[in-house]
Amino acid sequence: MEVLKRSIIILCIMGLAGCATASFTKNTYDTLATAAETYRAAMGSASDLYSKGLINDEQKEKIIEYGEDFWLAWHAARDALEAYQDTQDKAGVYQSLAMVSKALGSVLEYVQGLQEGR
Amino acid sequence: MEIALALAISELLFKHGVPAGLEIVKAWDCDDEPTMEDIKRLKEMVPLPGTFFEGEAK
Repeated sequence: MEVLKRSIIILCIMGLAGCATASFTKNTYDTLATAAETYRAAMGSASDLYSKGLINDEQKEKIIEYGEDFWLAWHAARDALEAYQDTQDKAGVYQSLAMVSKALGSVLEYVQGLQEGR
Repeated sequence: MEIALALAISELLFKHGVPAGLEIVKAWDCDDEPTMEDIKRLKEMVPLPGTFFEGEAK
């Protein structure tokens, strides 16, 4: 499991390195796509726990709350990327990506806690 | 991305399965510059969180 975990991390780093010369749009697009997949994995995991009766309604509502924060941040960042195509405003995109990162961190931390039975 | 966050993501992927990991690696396709259409279609990737629990009964 540890070896496999390290392999995935190395793959991710290689992916990032391989795209070192990619454009700002491409990098941001990839970041958003990755965040989206991570969110889907986390929510899927949470949904799985709920369907097995391992988390209660209150915990489910909390996950949804964190998920909604992420949803708002992510779609704002996506909108910023779309707007960037015309405005070239990188600062706005960076700001919104920071919010995405923060919101995703909250989702992951909470779901991880539930998985560990906290 | 902080190392702690990267590790948390990796651990989550393992608990959820390799397909999720493959989707993430696939997201780093270096070949094509995303078009405006691709950026618009990104919207579909993030549904509201409540949708993941639709039809789930305890």
